Amino acid sequence: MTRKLLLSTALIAAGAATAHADSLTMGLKAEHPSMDPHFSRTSPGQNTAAHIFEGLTAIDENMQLTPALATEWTNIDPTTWEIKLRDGVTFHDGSTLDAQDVITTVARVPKVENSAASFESNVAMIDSIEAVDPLTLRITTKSPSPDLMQQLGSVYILPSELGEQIASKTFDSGEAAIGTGPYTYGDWTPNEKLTLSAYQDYWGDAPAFDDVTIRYIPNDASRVSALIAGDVDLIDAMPAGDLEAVESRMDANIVRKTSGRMIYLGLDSDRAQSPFVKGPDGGEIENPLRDPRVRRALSLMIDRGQISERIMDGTATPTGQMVPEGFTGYTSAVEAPEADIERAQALLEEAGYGDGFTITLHGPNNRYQNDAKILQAVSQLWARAGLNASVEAMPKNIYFKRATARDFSAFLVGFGTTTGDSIRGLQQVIGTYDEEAGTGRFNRGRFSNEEFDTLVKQAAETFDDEERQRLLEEATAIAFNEEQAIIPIHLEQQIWAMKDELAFDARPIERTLTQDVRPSE
Amino acid sequence: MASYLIRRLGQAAFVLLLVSFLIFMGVYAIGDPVEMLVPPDATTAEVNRAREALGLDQPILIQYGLYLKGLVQGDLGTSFVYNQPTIDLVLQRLPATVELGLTAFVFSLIIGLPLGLIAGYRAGSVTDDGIMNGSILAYSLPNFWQGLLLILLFAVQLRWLPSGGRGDTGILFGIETSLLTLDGWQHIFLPALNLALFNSAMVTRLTRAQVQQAMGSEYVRYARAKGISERRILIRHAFRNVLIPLVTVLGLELGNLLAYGIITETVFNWPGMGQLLINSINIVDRPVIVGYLLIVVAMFVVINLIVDVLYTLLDPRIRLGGNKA
Repeated sequence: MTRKLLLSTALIAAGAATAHADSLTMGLKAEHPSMDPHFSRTSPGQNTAAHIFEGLTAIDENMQLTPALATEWTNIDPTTWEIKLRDGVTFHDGSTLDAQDVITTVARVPKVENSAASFESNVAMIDSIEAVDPLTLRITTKSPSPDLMQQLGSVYILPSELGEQIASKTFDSGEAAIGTGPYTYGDWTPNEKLTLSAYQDYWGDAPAFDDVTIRYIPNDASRVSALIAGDVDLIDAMPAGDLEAVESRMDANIVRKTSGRMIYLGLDSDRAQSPFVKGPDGGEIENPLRDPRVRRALSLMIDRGQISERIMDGTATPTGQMVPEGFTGYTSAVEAPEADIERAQALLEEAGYGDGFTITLHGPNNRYQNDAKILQAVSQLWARAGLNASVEAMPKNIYFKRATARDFSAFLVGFGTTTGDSIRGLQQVIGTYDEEAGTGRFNRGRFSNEEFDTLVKQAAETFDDEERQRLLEEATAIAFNEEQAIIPIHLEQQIWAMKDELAFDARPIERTLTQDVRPSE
Repeated sequence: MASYLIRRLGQAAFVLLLVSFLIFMGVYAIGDPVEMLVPPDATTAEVNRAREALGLDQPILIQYGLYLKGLVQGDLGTSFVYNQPTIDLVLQRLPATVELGLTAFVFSLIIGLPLGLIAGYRAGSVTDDGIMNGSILAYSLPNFWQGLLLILLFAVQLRWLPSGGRGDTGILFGIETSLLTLDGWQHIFLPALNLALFNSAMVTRLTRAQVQQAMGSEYVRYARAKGISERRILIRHAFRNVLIPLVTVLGLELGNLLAYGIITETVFNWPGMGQLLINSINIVDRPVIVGYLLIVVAMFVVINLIVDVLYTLLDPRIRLGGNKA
């Protein structure tokens, strides 16, 4: 009995030991532009940074804020915060984390040169920051900022020894790539691969793999064949159309997760005449998209279930609002509309467009999953319901410039919520376009509703979580149930494919982190 | 010779200027880099800041003027995406592309020349038919499709070779090359073959046509009459004349292999310049697009010059500058 127990313990120990020493090779679609963690807030940049560096807070699988380098934070009055740092955290160069590191980091962020996606807005609300003692920070903000810990918390902390002036290129060689994260920089060959090794003195749970190679394979077919050929263990952005091929050729573990990227149709709901809306016979008419009943009708004509099943191979979640369930601001009061052509036609009749109208739908053909096919489907569904609908798809680099210049009447876009909170989407996609206030940047249809704007503004200034949720829910109901400001279609799912021996805890944001991969039991 | 070179350089400078203007304006007309670069949830203020940081808030002609000013001083601009000088980005990827292009070039000669010689010498025979049909296949199957088939067969089914990427490198004269290691050769074999197939078909057909022509010409008949062996006629006499038109085409083809191996680089995930160009076009990274194409144009100019000089060596009757001796 004892011997048996000993033997099994030894086996488990041996198994654990080999699993720990294992190496992992991942094939990812997109590469970071720089090793400087403050250079780009885009997903590829942050995916790399999150291996080596950490912020004051982290986001868990349910998009909720959790402590990381900060252990607790209190809001003394609306503009004063006190933050406690974690004790005993060391950087990869051996130095210990203290308040000065955070202060230097905050000062450095706005000094990053030539960055198109800097973290500046994450620290812009800070008026002053000082150390009370080595592990306590006191921050005053310029105005009440309930989301300080989300914003500041996601800035990657650098050791103060690097200084405020350190240049981005010093990170690329690895010289300055010093963080507190679970992995240390190994070597980066741009366009090719990045190698990482586990940091032995990491304060948190040790990751399952010691040696990690991340290969960058932008071409979908090449990434899939690298997985099947066994050259990589795991890939991200698995094309849904190739799932069958992968599963027939190897024992694969497929992980899906509904993401915060919502695909929607924007509508020109402002101008008296819209460039791509004409009468049923092609003559000029007053823009029908200004009428909420018409926008509602266009939404009811779309069979979201069919698009998700037939076009997306079941890899999309139909939706009627900004964010997926579980995110702050989600409301069960707004459902994904079922297709209902009769009601749609009744609404059109009521609005005075019983004979329909001519409309051209625009969109990109290389930006979102199956974007061109979704455009085709929507225009066919509109045609089925009696509109004279046509479609024009174009490459993203041409499309977005024209969409922002308001060249279109109806257009397909996606908005990715990366914070687990609907507020930024509501502000930027549906909020009234106002350059000074910084709202409505993606409001390309120039929708505007005063009541909605007020609710969102209130929510942005509210510290109480429950009250804030209530305000966001109310604003969401106005935008989608009453006004149909935009027409949500679905939330994209992210798909990862990996060898059967691996398990992966996916997050709803676009991250493929080695620390989330482990051997399957 | 000297005045000839100066004239050619003047022409080259004019071509470069014209190309830079056309591409600069073309890229400007296509898209807005800032739209591609900012994070999806950026505010208007952030977008304006990015526009200023990249100098995109200036009128387009001033932007072009500033670019030209840098160009004259040898500065090809700084990438919007990587925040690194364009020249660094291109040079970083140049060894991989040159190594792939040259290997493919050698492959296409090794495959194409002998097949062309045999087919031309035995024109009309079954061997000739076989070679010609094979070359049609290599000619007409799309490049990316050939690449995917090679990956499916050798990497996925047989598992003999890796599916993509570049292998271990060694250092030769200070340049990193994967041609020094076994792992490197295993990685380069499939992409080089893929890139070489189209060219080898072309070399085959060209050589065949030239050999056929040469074998019917007077000097060959005269050599035959003198009793020289067929083998010697083919190698010593005919082949030399076959080479002259071939060199022109091959020179340009080498340029093509180096500059436009984009499809092969994409399919095999080869970290070369082609991938850089594709990625840059996708995100409208204007300095890299313009800089890359200027480098390519300069490369073609140089190759053309070398081809012209090679002529005079192969055929002493040809003089540079158009004056017949």
